[in-house]
Formats: sequence, C-alpha cells, structure tokens
Amino acid sequence: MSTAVEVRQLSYGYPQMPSGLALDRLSFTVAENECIAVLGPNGAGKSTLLLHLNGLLPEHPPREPNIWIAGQPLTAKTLDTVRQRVGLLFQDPDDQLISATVFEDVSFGPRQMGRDGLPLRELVEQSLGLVGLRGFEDREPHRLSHGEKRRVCLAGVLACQPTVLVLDEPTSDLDPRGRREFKHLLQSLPGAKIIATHDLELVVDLCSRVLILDEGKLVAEGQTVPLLSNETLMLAHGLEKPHSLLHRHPHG
Amino acid sequence: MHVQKLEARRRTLVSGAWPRLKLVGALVIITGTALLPRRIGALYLLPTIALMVLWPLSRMPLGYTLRRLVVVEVFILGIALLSLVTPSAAPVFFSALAKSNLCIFTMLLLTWTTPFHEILEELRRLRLPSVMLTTLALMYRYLPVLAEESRRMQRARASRTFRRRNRLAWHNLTTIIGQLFVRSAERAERIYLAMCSRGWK
Repeated sequence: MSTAVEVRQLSYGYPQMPSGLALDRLSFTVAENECIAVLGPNGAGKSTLLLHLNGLLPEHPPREPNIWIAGQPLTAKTLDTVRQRVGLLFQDPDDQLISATVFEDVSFGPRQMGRDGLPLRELVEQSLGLVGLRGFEDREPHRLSHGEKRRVCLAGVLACQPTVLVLDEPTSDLDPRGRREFKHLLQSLPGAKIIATHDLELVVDLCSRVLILDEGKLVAEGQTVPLLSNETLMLAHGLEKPHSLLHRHPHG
Repeated sequence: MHVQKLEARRRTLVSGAWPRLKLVGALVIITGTALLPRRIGALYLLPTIALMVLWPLSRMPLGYTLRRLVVVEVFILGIALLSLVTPSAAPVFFSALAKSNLCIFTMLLLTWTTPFHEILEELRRLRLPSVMLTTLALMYRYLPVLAEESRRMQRARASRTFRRRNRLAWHNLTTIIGQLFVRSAERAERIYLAMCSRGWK
C-alpha cells in the first residue's frame, strides 16, 4: 500500500511561546485509505499538527520539507497542490462557512481552482449528495443546524476532491444522532483520514491506528484497541480507556 | 417564523422582479434623494410617492419597517442635530431627516424583497471589486454569529449578576464589548486559515 502522508522530524514553536515547542520532532506515516486518530490532552499540539498538514503553518514553508503528501514534498512551490490534496475540516463550522448560501460555500474551493459554470454546479451537487444534503443549495448557512453546518463544511472540503481528509474534532457539539450519522458518513468516504479528537468511541469505531501526542511529542503509536486498552498509558496522558473497551480483551 | 416571512416575501410582485432592476432602481432613488435641494420642497414628493407605491406591492409589514427605522433614527437624528450648529439650520435639519429616512426606507424595501445572495450576485455581475464583495458577504455571514456570541456572553454574565447596579452594568457591558472584539479578532484569524485551506490567495 502506498503512503498518503509522511511526516519526518517535524518541529514547530509559536513565536508568542518562546519557551517550549508546540511540536517536537514528530515522525509518522499514513497509508492510502488508512484512518488514523491523533489523541492527546488539550494543548498537546493536535490542531497545530493538522494546520501543518495543510501547509497553513508555518507561515512560510521551510526549504527542507518535513511533510510529504502522496510522495510530493510540501514546499512553497507545491503549497497550492498540497492544499487541494489535503482537505481540512475545522473544529468550528462557523469558521469555515463563509458564504451567504450553501451553494456559494461549497463552490468556494473549486472556484479558487478555476472551476465555473456547469461542471462547478455538478461538482457542488455531487458533494452535497455525498453528505446527504442534496437540495440545500439555496439555504443560508446561519439557518442550518449544527450537524447540517458540519456536513456543509465537509461538502466544501470534498468539492476540492482531496486525497487526504484531515478532521479537527469532527463530532464535538453534535448530539448522539448527529454524531452517529457523521460517523457513518466518514466511514463511507474513501481516502486517507487523520482525525484529531477527544471522542474515543469514534476512534474505536473508525480508526485502525492511533497516535498519542503530549506536549508536542509523539508519546505512543499503535493499533487502536491494544493502545486504548492500556489504562496506565491513557491516564498518564490525560486520556481515559473508552467505555466500549472496558470489558473487552485488548487482543479480541 | 422567519422562514415563513421569507417565503411570504418571495411571493410578492416586487420580490418576483428582476434583481438587477430592483438594485438599480434602489440606487437611482437613493442617489436622486441625496441630490435633492437642502430645503424641503415639492421634489421630495417624487421618491416619497415612488416608495409609497412600492411599499404595498412588496407587502413589507408596518411593524418590521418601523422597528428598523427607529433603530437607525438614533443615528439619523445624531447626524441631523449636527446641522443645527450652522445658522438657519432648521430647513437643513428637516431635509437631512427626510433624506435619510427615504434612503433607509429604500434599502429596507430592497432587502425585504431581494435575498442578500441575489444582491451580491447582481453586484458581482455589475463588476463591483471582488474585495468589496467578499467583505460584504463576510459581514452578512458573520453578523448573526457575532450577535449570537454576544447573546451567549450576556446570558453568562447575567447568570452571575446578582444585584442591579448601574455602574456595574456599564462595567459589564464594556467588558462584553472588549471580549467580543478580542473573540472577533481570533475568529477572523481562524476564518482566514479556513479560507486559505480551500485555496484562497
């Protein structure tokens, strides 16, 4: 299986936080069609890592790349291509939904890539169909429910036809039904997925592998069930063993 | 409730008209009104009659109209009062008051009969600079978000405000405004990143 994402010795410190690094020499890979979770306590560096994968951090990409997307290094020259390949779903849908209508919002990304006219309309319809919101084109984002807003955000990302989906807390603020539906939706989507979340039940259901970050360092990496069943490790990094694994043997 | 209102406005004669016609018509009325002489005269009847004809056709409710006019009246009166500083100010004061109300009323009719995204689309076709369009679109999108954020903060403050004291209330209000400013700046940063992640340059 080929590699969708490769991160090598990635370090980053925020200018306003001179003491300590937000990311400290991270290295990992994600295979094509693999779904992995990035876990860790608040401030562990999860969101910072996701912003790096989309080339949003650092402000100026380094000359020597630390990230490769489908074998292509992330540099200033390849930034546009990489951003198109890596679809990033932000934690707060209100940050991502910027247009007056759903159609305008979903078409935002493709328009930046020069799409227009009938192909653009078809792409938007197809993306909305994928998230189960066909017919929502003329709706105004601020009149949608939280779950619908999140789906529109995902449609906006899918419209850019990415090969890697990067999701920051995709189920936060969703009610149980919204969470369940969103989980099924994510399961149905092809491509590599990297999910930063505190929703450990979602991780058990969706992700085959887990990375645990703490204070910017990669402190553990491995198969989901054995890793999340390690109560000592989980507690040491501000996490808890998920309910679904409480009475389950780590090796099945 | 609001959706019903929206549906109701879509069915009226004026709302069914071509958006460009409404937009250009509104601009003509506003520009014409602004260019009227400084003393109120018969010419003021022209925009007034035009608006009074369009009002029933658009079925814009009286309460809706008055509530919005009252809100902007504070600003209009403030501006109009400034004209009292000059000698022989009374006619100028009344003309400023009439002009402002006519212009605001025109905008209310336009926004009542035309969804905002259609206005934006028309402005795009009329080749308004894209930076201006983006600013307008973002403003329209984020006003309800800001309003909701401010409501949440006010509720949270109210839940911990046990005594009604004017000085404290003012202090709370200024804190909320300050916090809202800081949060808006942070949100702006996140919105910018979200736009960049979808190819914005």
